Amino acid sequence: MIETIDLERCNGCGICVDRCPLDTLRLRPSPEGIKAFIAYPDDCMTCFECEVECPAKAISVHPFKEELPPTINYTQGKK
Amino acid sequence: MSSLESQGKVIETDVLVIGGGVSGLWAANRARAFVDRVTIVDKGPKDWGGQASMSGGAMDAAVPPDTADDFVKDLVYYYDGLCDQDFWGEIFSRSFDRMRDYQELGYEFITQPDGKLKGIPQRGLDHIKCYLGKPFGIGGKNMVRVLVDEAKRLGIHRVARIVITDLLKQNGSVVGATGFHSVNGEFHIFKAPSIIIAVGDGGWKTSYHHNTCAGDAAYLGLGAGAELSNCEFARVWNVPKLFAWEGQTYLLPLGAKFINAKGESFMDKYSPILGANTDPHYVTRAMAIEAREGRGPFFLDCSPMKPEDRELVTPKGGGWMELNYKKLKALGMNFFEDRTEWTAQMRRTVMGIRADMQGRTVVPGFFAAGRACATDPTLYIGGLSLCLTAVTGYIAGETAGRYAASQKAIDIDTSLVGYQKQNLYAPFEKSGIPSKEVLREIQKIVFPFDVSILKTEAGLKKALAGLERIREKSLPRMGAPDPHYLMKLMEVKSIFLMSELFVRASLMRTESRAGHYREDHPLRDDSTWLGQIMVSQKGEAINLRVELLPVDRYRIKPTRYYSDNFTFPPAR
Repeated sequence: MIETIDLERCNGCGICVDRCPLDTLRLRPSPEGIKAFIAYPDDCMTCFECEVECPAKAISVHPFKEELPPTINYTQGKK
Repeated sequence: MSSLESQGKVIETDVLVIGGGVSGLWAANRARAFVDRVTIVDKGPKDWGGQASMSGGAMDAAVPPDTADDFVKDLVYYYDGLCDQDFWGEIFSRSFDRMRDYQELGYEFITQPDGKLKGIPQRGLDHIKCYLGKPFGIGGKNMVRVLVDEAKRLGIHRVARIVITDLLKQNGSVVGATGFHSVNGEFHIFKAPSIIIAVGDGGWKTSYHHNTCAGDAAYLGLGAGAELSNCEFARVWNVPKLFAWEGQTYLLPLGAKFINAKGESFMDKYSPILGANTDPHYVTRAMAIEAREGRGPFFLDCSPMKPEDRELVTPKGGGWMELNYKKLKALGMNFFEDRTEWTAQMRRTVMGIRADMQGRTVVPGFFAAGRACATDPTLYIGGLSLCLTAVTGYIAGETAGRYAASQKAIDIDTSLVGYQKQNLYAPFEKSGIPSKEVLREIQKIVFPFDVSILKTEAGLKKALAGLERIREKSLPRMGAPDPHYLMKLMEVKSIFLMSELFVRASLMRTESRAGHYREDHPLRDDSTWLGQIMVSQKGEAINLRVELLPVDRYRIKPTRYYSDNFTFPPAR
């Protein structure tokens, strides 16, 4: 899941905002100018699109995905 | 009566394509040959290309000397007879043309040293081959790029971040659609005599590349009066437990094996012929049985692979897979040297709209393309989706374009638009149950193996009762604090619908075939079930009926069945 946006590197270009398939990122003003922020962290699906496309290399996505309810569980046989 | 313009932003077009993935792009580009105004509307980013943009970019095609008939023969066997031979015959007979179109547009397929295209046989089948795109493993982005460039050249109007929530009809024909902008919330009205739905199938929001498809086709299609089928078939895939990885299709033929907690290559037991080199649905079925016997969890063992083969499939090229691989390494996880834990994951249904060989649904003015169409009983073949999307997109674009050119001016019922708008915004800017919580409730009901893999009447009935509770208690209480959350709320509504249809159709099909396995009905039953469960809606009531395939008329009679390669023990 998306982890951090380095605000020192972010130049506020908005490419990540435009490219996120899940509409997770937005821009907002800060004392240092317009910056991207993770507006809806729960909606990230770990596609890396923002990190791959960021021209300022400001974004870091952790490779682990969101934990989901299990389809199989390993206590099944131990009942 | 107030004007249409006072309700929201009005966009008039000849052909409206809902969904900007590759099937939508093919459809739009082809429709443009017949009409001037073609519009693509997508709820995601502009020109992103949908799921295909994150795919490997490999495509199946009947490249001579292979023939469409050869490919259909393979599918009849692979799908345990449940193959619409007219539909697939048409797709395969036009697949090589679309492959050449891709090449003409500038997309490159990998060639052998002798200059011929490099086709990879699939799943131990006799004929079907998958042609790899460049760069290996991440070619999908290039595929999208060439189609988007062509759309720009043709002057296709492309609008992004608009969620379509309703279709408009006039005298039984589809004439438009309404929706909203997921960032600014603005209401949109599309006037179009011809609409192609190309939104993909239904996902439960479980993996990076099934991110936006959330049963929109089922929701919009059923509401508009179209029929659905293949609702009982879902993709239950084997995936790494912690992260994403593309390309097991290429790892398994190169020697990688799934092993259980005891270190046994368990697939050899269930299929001495195919072992682990088969479709994930048979692997996850075995995983569920092994887990029940106490032999989970499971791991992917790449140690039998030759070093040069590992090198071949090691992610490179600067895409997300390389980034992923390097980040995992930095965390101390070496994909090829460690035994990484894999598990079964319920991902998405393959339910879709019934469309004929010309892309027509039963509703005039309403056409379907790509994975929004009902096509398969969920067994997968690498490259089949990119074959399907190109060919059906092209065909639907042609039919819808011709249809639009023959239509007179349309009139939209403003009061109907007002009604749809009022309904849509009812949960807006209201606090309530977050839609994500409701999604979790649905996932907890539908994911367990006795609903998704080793289906039983008891498991499915329990799931149906659980969904009923959600329908009564949670769905009406969802809130959407802003337009973004209104989009998520609409997705959860369509995910609920596809979940209900999945469970009801799974309960109805009292046999086992292809990707559908009823542990309480483990055998095939051709006399009752060699056909589709067709789903339609009248008023509030959803009706399911069986329609047998016209096998007497088909050229290829099912005599061999892929599932006969496997033996699963009876339920305890």
